[in-house]
Amino acid sequence: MGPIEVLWGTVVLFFVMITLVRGYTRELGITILLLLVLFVEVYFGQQIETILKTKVFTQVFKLLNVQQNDELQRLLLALIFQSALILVLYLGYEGRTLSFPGAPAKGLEGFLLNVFIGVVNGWLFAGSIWYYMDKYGYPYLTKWGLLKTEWTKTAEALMKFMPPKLFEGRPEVLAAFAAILIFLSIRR
Amino acid sequence: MLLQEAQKTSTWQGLITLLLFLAAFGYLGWKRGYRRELVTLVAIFIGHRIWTGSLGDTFVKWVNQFYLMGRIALEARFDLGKMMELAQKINDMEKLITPERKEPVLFFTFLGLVLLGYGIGHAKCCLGTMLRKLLDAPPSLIGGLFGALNGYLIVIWLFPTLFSILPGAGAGQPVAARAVEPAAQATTRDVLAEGIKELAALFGLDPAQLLVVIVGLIVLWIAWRSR
Repeated sequence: MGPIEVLWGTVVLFFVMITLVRGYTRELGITILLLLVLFVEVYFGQQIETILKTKVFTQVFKLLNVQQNDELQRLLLALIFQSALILVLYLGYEGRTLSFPGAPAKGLEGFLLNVFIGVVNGWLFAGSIWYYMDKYGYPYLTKWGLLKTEWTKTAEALMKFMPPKLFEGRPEVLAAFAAILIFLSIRR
Repeated sequence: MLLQEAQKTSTWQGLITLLLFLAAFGYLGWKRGYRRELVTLVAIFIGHRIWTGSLGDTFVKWVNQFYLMGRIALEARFDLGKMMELAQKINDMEKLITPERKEPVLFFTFLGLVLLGYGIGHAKCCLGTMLRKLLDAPPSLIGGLFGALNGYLIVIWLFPTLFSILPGAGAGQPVAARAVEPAAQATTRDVLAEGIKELAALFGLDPAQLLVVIVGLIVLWIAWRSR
């Protein structure tokens, strides 16, 4: 596998392509959903993790007669935080989508706005997925030889800019942006 | 402590000056529209490559070749025989851009290209009218952002050490000596980086968070116009 930032960049690029096809007025709805989930994950993250570790995992492991395993626990934690994002993204694209009513700009301006919103959504989604993998130490991925954790300087620099990391101390900023976007989407 | 204070004040002064530049260019970009600003951006990049990059040598080579070809043709009054004769002495002829002239010529080429970039979308005759129609775009924030970017590039490339954030380092020396003292100068990029840190600290954020807030504000603007 190549450097992890290339993989991350590819996912961001997918979001740009999706936005180019769907238009940024629709994709802004996805931005709202991602901001809301991120707010919940960053604001309640520590509590969720504690509850899962102390109450849920112990019971589940006992029930399934599985020995307490730190790596498995970290994998489950990463998957839970990541699946919330994936689920919301799926719901955002599936069925009735939350979108802005206005007509998207045309021509080069529309293209630039699409690219911008695509990059923002890609950064919110792929950045958070990467952040949770990193936070829980890439469980099993290194063990199974799927990933080598010898990061390049770019990867290390990028890690500082991942959304949950940036808003660890100020999750209310995420909620504020989401609230303003919701207000703008319903106010004509 | 006093030096630190002076440095901080100077950073703010530098940042405010830089922001005023960006605001002025941003306003210009807002009014001119993003298409004209994109053309200017391309002109600035090409100009900079000619001024400091590898394109400079190619540019000098081409200009000199065209100049010598023209000179031979004129001196020989377009007589093919004479032209061939003169072509033998091409190495003895003085070039238009000699190594001594190279630096100023390339600098003025950069300036010329920047001005051309700004003027090309406003010409009112012949091909210019067609271009003007093609580049017409309503005032918009995107134009403003591109305008500010153009302004930033012009400032960092034309005045790389315009702003000093280390006033104390050259204190006690004559002004001219201070001007050449490298330690007393900080590049415009340093001022921007330092200024962003100071600005972010003012709101209790770190620079990366401030950057994200700016991105967020642009997203809000896009959402506002998509209502």
